[in-house]
Amino acid sequence: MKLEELLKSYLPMSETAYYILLSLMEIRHGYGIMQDVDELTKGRISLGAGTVYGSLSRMEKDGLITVMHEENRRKSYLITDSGRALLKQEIARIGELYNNSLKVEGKLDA
Amino acid sequence: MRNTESNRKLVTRWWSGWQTDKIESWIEKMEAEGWHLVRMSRNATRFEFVKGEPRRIRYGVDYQTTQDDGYRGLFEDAGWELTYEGAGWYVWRKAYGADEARPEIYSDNQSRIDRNNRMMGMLFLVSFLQLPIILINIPQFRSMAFVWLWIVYLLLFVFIGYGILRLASANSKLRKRL
Repeated sequence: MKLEELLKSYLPMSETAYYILLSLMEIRHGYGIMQDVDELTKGRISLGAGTVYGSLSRMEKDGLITVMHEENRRKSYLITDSGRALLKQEIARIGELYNNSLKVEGKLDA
Repeated sequence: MRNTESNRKLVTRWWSGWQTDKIESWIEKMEAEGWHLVRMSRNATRFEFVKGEPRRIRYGVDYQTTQDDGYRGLFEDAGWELTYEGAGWYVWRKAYGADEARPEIYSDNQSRIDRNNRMMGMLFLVSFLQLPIILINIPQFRSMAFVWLWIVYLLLFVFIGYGILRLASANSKLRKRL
């Protein structure tokens, strides 16, 4: 898939997709991603095995992540250049959300 | 339908892919009452229970059209145990404590929609596969002797059509909450 198509189909990202890509900045297998995301969000997001399996299959097909190794029915993945480009765009969008939130945050309690 | 001994129970229960929540909750309730599921058979319509201590176990039904080696490995890593497998259907289970959240195999609506779409695809495929059979047999089917066959096909298509509608309506509800 071309980058524009990927941008169109993935952005804005679901929390699931966002955290899976973020987690795959390091090589991890599916369950490793689930543990990492649980830790990053202090247990707020507990990814389901079926959800992770489906997302990984689709992201691999779309070239956002790649299989690094496979042993004992356990695949390990890493983000690709396309995946990084997508994540970068999403982080810019979230940065905008965050900066705009800061502008009103102080006024909310007033 | 029920064959009850003091500590063993065989239950036949039909369920459909658009009502997985119901069958999941039902087995979970049986476990909570101390009926441990030991075996599912006959296309997952026959359930064999053995009496024991009440258990808190989440059951999750999945449907996959393509499975690679990673599928089972991922579920097992995440603490799920395979209870039944057949024709793309998987029934997973996982124990959980009173203070823990009920485990889910799908944690977001997009993946629930994807699963429902896989089931709908299967239903469409099953109905399309009937077409060549029907077309080839149309000359014979015209005879009144085959009226029962038309009725069988009619029932089959009504059933499949109903399933597709139920899944599509579940998906449109899920989509509103995306």
